[in-house]
Order: sequence, then structure tokens, then C-alpha cells
Amino acid sequence: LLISPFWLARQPAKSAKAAQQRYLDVLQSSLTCLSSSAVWYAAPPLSGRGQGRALAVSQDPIGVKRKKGAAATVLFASQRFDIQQLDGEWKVKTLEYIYRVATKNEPDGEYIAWHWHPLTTPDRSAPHLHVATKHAVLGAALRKLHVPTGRVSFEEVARFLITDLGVTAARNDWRQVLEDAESRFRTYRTWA
Amino acid sequence: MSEKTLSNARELGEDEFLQLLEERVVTSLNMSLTDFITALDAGKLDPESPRVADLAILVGAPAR
Repeated sequence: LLISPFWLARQPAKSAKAAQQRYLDVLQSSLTCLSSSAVWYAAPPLSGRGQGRALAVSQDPIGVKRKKGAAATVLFASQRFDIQQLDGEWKVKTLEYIYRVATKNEPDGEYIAWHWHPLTTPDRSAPHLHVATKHAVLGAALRKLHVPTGRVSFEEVARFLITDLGVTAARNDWRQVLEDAESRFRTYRTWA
Repeated sequence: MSEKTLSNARELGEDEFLQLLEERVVTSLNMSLTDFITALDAGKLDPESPRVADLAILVGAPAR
């Protein structure tokens, strides 16, 4: 249970609080693949603000380790979610996410970022990708483009960091942990 | 490690969360949380700029 709680059968959540904690635990398990110290926090709804609750990471940004000589890399991660009663159980529904990869020297830069923020930008409601570079042939600054994507999970981003950007995994069983968490995500998500 | 971090994933109290937001807004945008929300809701900030987007998703859209 302490290594990866998701090898156990998923039990229906009987309360909103239980659903939230289950969701937090799954995401936290995935986060431990990148960092041994960062922690996900769920926020209470704020008065005067609209739908959902925020999900933030204790470290802003999350520092990740890369091979010697590679640019020091950081990850910003945040979500909004709601808790709903669906099919006889309480479930978390993701409403928005942003996963942004930058460098430690330029944390406000955006080298690769997966965005889905339909509530804060209703005119841009689909998931998309930003890549901060200029494309010589297209003649376009890719940062300004919203490259369409499907829905991207935190686990996919964590795996990308490890396998494509050479980030050092923070635990040896990261493949299994991410696979378990992602399997849950794909099974129980309400849309793809 | 896993035991500790799993148990630490939790819900913040409203004051804790507001303090977290305030610190992040001041540090990254050099403005107060109140000023940030006012400017964001008035459309005076670019919601697609990296740091504004990060923080806007945490603050949430205004209630309608």
C-alpha cells in the first residue's frame, strides 16, 4: 500500500472527502516518481470564485534532476477539479490543468506546456500544447500556437520528463507506479 | 519516503491556501493577490502568459 496503493482494487468512494483523498493519493504516487519531497495540496473553494477547487504542488516549481550537463529543469503543475456523485459513488472530475516545463534559470519561460483551461479562457476550451521555439519553415513562433492535443494526464507528463528529457526518476519502480495510476485515469475519466 | 509523501497529500485550509497564493503571486508577479485577481478579472493580464496562466488556474474564474 505504501509503495503503490493502486495495486489494490479500487473501492467506490462513499463521500466527497474520500474521493478527493483517493485522487490526491493517486496523483501523489505519480509525483513521487519525479520528486521525493513535493506534495500535492487540494484547496478549498474560494468565495466569489467559480467552479471547482484548485490543486497545487507544495513546490513551485518542482525541481527535477537531470543528467550532468543538461539544463536544470523545473516543472510547474496545477489543476482544477470538482467532486461529483456519479454512478452511485463520489468521483473527482478534472476541470482544467497546466503542466509547464521550464528551466531553473528561466522559470517564467515556457519550453513545453500542456494546457487545458476552459474555465479561465472559455474561447480556448480544448486541450493544447505550447512549444517555445521558432519554426524556421513555418515562420511561426510556436509559443503563440495552440497545438491541439487530446487530454493529457499528469502521468504522461511525468513519463515524458523521464524518458524524453532525461529526468532522473525519484523511485526505481516509476514505470509501474505511473502505469497503475494512468490505468486508473483511463478507466475512470469521464472524457478523453 | 513514499509513506511520508502519500500521507502529506492533503487539503489545505482556506487561510493556508490564500497564504500560498499570496506568496506565489507576490514572488512571481510582484503584486498582491487582491491586485492580481482584480487585474485578471478585468482582462488586464494575458491569461496565456506562463505565470499568469499558472496562477489563474489556482485562483479560478470569477463566479457567474
